[in-house]
Amino acid sequence: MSNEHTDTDTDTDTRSGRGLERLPFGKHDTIPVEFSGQGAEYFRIWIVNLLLIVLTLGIYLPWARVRRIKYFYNHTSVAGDSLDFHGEPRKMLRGAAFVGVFFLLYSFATQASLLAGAAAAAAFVALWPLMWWASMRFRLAHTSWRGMRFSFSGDKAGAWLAMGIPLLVVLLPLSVGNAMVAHAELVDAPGKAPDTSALYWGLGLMGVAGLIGMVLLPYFLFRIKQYQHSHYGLGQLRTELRSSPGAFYRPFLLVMGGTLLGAVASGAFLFMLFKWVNPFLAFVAVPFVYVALVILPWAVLAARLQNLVWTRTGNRYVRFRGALAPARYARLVVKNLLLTACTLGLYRPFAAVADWRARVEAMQIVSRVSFESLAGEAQRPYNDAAGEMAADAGIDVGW
Amino acid sequence: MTSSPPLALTFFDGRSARGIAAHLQRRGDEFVLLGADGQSPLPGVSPAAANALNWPEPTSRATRTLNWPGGGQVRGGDAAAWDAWAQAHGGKSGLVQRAQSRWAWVLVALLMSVGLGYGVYAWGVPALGKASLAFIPHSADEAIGETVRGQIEGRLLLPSRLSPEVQQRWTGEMAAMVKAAYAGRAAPTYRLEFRRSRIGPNAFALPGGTIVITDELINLANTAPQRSREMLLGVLAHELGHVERRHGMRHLVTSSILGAVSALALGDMSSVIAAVPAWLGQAKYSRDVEREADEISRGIMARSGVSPLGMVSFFDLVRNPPLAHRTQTCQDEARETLTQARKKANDAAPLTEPEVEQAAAPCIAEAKTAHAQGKASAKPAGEDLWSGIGIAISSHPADAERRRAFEAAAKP
Repeated sequence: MSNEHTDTDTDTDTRSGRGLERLPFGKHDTIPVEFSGQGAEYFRIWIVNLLLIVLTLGIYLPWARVRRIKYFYNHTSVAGDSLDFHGEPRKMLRGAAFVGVFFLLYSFATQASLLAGAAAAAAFVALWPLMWWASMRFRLAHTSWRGMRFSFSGDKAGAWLAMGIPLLVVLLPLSVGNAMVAHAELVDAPGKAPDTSALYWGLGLMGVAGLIGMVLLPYFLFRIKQYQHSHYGLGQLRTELRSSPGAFYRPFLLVMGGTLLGAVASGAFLFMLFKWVNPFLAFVAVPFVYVALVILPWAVLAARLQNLVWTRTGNRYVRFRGALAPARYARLVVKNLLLTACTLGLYRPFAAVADWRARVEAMQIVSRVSFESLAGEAQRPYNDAAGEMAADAGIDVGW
Repeated sequence: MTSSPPLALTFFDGRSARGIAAHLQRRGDEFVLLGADGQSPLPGVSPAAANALNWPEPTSRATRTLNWPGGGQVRGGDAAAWDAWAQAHGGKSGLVQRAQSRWAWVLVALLMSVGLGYGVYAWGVPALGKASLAFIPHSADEAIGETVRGQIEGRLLLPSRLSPEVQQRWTGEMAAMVKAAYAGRAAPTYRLEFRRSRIGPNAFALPGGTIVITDELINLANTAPQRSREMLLGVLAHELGHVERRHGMRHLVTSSILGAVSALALGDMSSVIAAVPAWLGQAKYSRDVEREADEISRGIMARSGVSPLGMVSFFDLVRNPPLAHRTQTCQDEARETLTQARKKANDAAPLTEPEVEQAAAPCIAEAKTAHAQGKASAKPAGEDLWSGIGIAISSHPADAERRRAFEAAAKP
């Protein structure tokens, strides 16, 4: 909570503190975030979207995306007012085509030759942070609450430091190593011994990069979230993430420990099943082990990270609180997955609604000043043209 | 000019998050925002043309919002009051919105999606795969074939131990069959190669036209009491069918499309889960391709006078190989294992026959049981059930079905 901050903190919004109505000491406003979407309602949007995507051979995708985002945003309300999305499908089609062509070239190059693969990986490392940055600017600039657009004030250099460095340190060696393995000459040509050194070098490179990635992943995630959550804004109100790498290592270590124990236990279980009971049953058990060892830990980690990141986000007047119960969220994820599989995908929209509801309704906004007076203070700065280009590029990757 | 009654609501101007009490009124083809009094227009807010407004859908949310052209947002009070007012005064939402708010339309969309989706899967993607072959140069097939060969040569495939005479015989037999079958038209370019394998009796076509037949398959066919020639020529004709239709390349194209669509639809859930429908879906394409190759092989056999009954015998032979062949396989495997062990231990002593017999004994005993039961191998319990499920996801049609088709082709 916000109590850990003193009034000597430097906030970007101190100037706006004039008209704020202070609450009595120790009191705060709690503003719930509510979601009113319904699975059956979203199902209808989803199925019409699906039909139009198939009919137009995919051209309709950005329109479908806008309808989906709009449905979720419009049914998510903060202090009684819903969010809205203003992305223009036509512009997003251009952005999607750009990203699509980029990935097509990338996957083609990695298969073509070692050199092309390495060049493609380098291009990816250089360009992906920029696309990520443009995507955040686009998404925030086209999201509104009470008629006001949000903003993302992070710059390109920051994006490169937060996202580019992990890609450079982990992804680049991983994909170069992978290309070396894939293109290693192992054929027994007559009179020529197979050259296995490229294979071993590639595997070694991948091993080292993978190890570095595993050890540093929580730190990298901390840097990424720090960059994202410290640059969100509504009018002149800005947010800041106050956390430490250590706080990010805790949930990772916890989940990894649990998964390791689970892996040992289920490995022994599968072995016994295979050896002494019935090999067929062992095959049947594999998907369940996958759920237990991959899906469950992922869900627990996602819940813990969401809580961590949002509980540490805010400014001197207003803070977020994340209270997503990890065990309950993991149950929901598994249920969604099983029902989606059993219904051949028809449960998908219901799953999406249930997931969004769980994530959004576990959030709270806590304000130390009267929230309505704070919201009333939110004003668009007049000189806000920076980054308009990026906000207009229509690149919207991720969800 | 007729004016509607004003609807009380809140207006956000887009510059600050502070709401302003306002009213919405329709005046002819325009909508205007009035102030708190419901009389005078809001200062600084221009009227909006009726067709410039995107009316909200009547969904479950508690309030309705409407984006005002030029920035700002209108927030209604009670949703029911808004819907009634919008209904009466022309606040119509778009065609797609209206379609998705009616269950009947939704049902139509659902049925059409399923139908279209299946159509695309069953005919669209295969047709696209076939059509794409016209744009892919043959050299691409060859390059991919060489890559695949590089991956299996020396690992799954070893140099053949068949004598040059035997190899020449089958190369000649196949060439004669192809010449007879393709009299007057261009035969597909192919190259027949012989390999000893670690995958048992088999034959396959690589993209680009290389057909590989294993020593084990030729040995197995030679144990048949009759029609071993027709058997091998039938198998080779089937592989030539794959070469003629460039099935290798086609399969690459169709499975890539399927993978991309599946990743697009389910990739945000989990990439492993996205791989499952792609994997299950492409099994049907493989089965279709196998059926097509069978059909071409029947044509080749008919034109070159090779009896399709050879293939019928072949399926019987694979289902229950003769004991002599099973014993031979066991001994070969034992010899291979022992040789590898010697090599590893740097032991130069030659293998003795009793040693090989002893190592092969458990395998031979198992083979005898399986042969007595008329099965290809003595499988542990449960695997029969697995193979029952396997038919649905297998890359080949059931042998019984294929056998029947060849049997039917043999009838005059």
